Amino acid sequence: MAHPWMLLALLLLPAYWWMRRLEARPRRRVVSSLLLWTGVPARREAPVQEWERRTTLVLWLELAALAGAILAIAGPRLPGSAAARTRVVYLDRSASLLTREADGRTRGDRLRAALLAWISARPATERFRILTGAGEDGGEMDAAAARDFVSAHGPLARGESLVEGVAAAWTVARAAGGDPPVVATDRAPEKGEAAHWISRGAPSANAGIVGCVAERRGEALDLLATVRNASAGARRVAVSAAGVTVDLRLAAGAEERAVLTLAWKDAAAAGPCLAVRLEPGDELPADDLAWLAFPAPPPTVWRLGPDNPALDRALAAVFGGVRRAEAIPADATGLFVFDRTAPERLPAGPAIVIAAPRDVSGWCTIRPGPRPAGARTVRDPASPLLRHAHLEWARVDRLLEAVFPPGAAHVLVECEGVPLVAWTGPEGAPALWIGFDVAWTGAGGSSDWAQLPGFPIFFANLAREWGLGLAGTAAPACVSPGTPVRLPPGATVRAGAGPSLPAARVWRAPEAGCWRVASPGGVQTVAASLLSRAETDNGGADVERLPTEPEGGRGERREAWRGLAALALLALCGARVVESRRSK
Amino acid sequence: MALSPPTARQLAHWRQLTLNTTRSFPGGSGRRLGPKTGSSIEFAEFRAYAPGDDLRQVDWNLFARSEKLFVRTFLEEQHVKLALLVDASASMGEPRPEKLRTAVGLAAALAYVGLVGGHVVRAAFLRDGECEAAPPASREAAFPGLLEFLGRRNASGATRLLAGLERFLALDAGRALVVLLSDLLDPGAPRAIPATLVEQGHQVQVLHILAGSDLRAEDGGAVVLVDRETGESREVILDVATAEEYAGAVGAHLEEWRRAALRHGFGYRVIHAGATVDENLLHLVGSDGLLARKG
Repeated sequence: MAHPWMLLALLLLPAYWWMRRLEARPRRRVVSSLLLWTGVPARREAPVQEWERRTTLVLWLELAALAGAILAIAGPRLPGSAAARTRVVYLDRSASLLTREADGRTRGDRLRAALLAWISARPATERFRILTGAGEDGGEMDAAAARDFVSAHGPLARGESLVEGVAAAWTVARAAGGDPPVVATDRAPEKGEAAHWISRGAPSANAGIVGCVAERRGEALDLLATVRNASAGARRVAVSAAGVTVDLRLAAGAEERAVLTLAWKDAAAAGPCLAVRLEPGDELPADDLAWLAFPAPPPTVWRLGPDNPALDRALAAVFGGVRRAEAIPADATGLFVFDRTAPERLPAGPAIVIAAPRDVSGWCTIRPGPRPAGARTVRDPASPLLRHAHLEWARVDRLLEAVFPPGAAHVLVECEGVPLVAWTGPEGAPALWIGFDVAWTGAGGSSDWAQLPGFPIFFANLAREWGLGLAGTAAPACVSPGTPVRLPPGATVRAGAGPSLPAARVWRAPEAGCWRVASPGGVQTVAASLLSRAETDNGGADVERLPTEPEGGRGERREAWRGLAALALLALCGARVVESRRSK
Repeated sequence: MALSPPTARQLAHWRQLTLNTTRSFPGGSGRRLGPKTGSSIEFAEFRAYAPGDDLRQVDWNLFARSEKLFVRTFLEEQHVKLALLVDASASMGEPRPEKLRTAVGLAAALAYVGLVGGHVVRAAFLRDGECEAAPPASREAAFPGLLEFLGRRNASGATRLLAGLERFLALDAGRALVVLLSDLLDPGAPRAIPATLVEQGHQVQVLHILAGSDLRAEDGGAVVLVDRETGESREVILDVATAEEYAGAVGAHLEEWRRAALRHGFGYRVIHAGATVDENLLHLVGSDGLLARKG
């Protein structure tokens, strides 16, 4: 009974019966004379007893309708026919379940132990059908076989899409009789999820590295890892790279940076990629976030403009170094970056112009010129350069026409309808128009956005796409801009020999939740999944939302409710029919 | 039951009305001109002289022109006795407003019309076989007394119209214009009463006063009907079918009264208790009605 207190309403039935009986008693009516009533045939002179009999029938029908409605609201549960029921279970086998927690057991161990205990507690007649994220379907089986199946299917070192797995489980569950499936995973259920749920280890997903950039200082390398604690409580986070570990104590919702100074080994041997290992720890599980950027040997990058350490650091992280200049050197080549500075002339090489909105009217002195013959416009949404670009291209086109005459420059970044980054290249050189989602940091505007996570990667991708072979080295490889990467436990992106994986490039694999890492040794696929920053906190508690016996499941209770409601409706209709016949 | 006095406008309206008599009422002198010739100053016609005629009535001017004897005849001035018999039995007390109130209101108006016309008016209540009559009145000045008489009676007792009528006739045996105001819910044989009166030479007008609740029964479920006069009860179920059958019974009852009126030559009108006095008076005006307009 879902709401047993509703049964108190049954006490109203005697009161209703008494009230209706009073109402049904014949009323006294004084008439001038009964003489005229002698003309009424005797058959119509129904005795009051007949009236009461009919009224009583109506009354009983009304009482039945009332009782049925009360019982339906109370939500009775009928005893389940366990023998005919098949429970559908979805077993998550994704790599994150390999994470070891404080007691040394993995999440998968704890999850399977809880699932086995639940299966053992089910009636012996109940059957199970277990699906896994890896695509296995064990078919219908009894409890013993189900326990064997669960014991034999541990986590895999690859990612799975929980959403797709749960959807598949629902499809099978509906076909099997309508009971909600049981989802066993290490993630918390989404709000409104109707499936039964058992979860172990979900809280650990609430802290992670949200940014990581490297800055080389001679032979040393500073690795800046930005770690955010998104959970409800304080959390200790360990960030490790190349054997160096930095412990951080983060308050709830805090974001800090860990700087790891690493010794720069032989650049030639290490290649363009730095070996960075994110170790899964007790409080920093493997599926945390990381922005990866890989430094490269110093290119010839000139930056003109006022001091902007953040931008310098970002450019250095991408291009390996940057040179400051007050004006364009006479015979300088390479990439020119103008930060809030109007170029006095077009440089010989490619250039990037960064401007804050307040400066636009002042520095916008780029002379109109012909559109570069080889200029091409990238508007393909599938282009990796445009990933996470939410720019309205129509607005950009208008701005280009108004501020930058065709061919003179091309907006790379704009914010609030104002171009922030313009690109102008040598005639005949390929040029791109790129929109980029930029956070607005102040009323007056600034170029602080350049140090936001993802911006260096944007530059890196830009340079790579343009084929800017700066300083004779290959462009650094990195993940796509703005895309957080969740690394599985033990997943290593490592340069050089040995078990490390020299990641030349990381991109999304067709398989859900997987990323593909290209290295000189070939291409390998690692399991990872995207994690949104808006992901809800699980509160640090395991989830245990499982069906119990012998009350039965929701589907059965709904069936009982419907039956009672139908009974009430029938009784009400019967009362109406009797009354209408009486009035005729 | 106090009877509210009529307004000046009502009185002015009633003055324009006169009783429409269809029979002669021999008796003492009066101002009402009957259908027979008499000795009034109202010229009726010329008639050829016959032996025995009063020579004073011979029109000598006409004899000089035609050399034939003609006598003038004049309309007879009659005393019309107007008997207003009001049923005051208990059944007249149902429903609210009472049928008795309609009856006495109408009787008062008719009495005024009679008094203004110079007739002798006598009002009486009939109930329980008894007759309670007011003194005869023949002048307009007696109208307030009649009003007081009519207004002091409440509905009670049984309806025994025949016995009450016999009592009334015992008081005054002369022929009269008898107006019976009643709901006619008499367990006896009420239709025989006007027939008997007509045979005795009276002009009879029956005003059948009925309320809406007498004419139709409303759907009310199980009901115990209680007779106002006798206290007898009857249990019925007032549904649509019963209401239709009751309406049919009432229709048949009224039709029998209409046929009896045609057969025996007495006037018959159904008066609705809910209507005003003037509306009911208007219902009585006409060539075949109890009242006529002067002029």
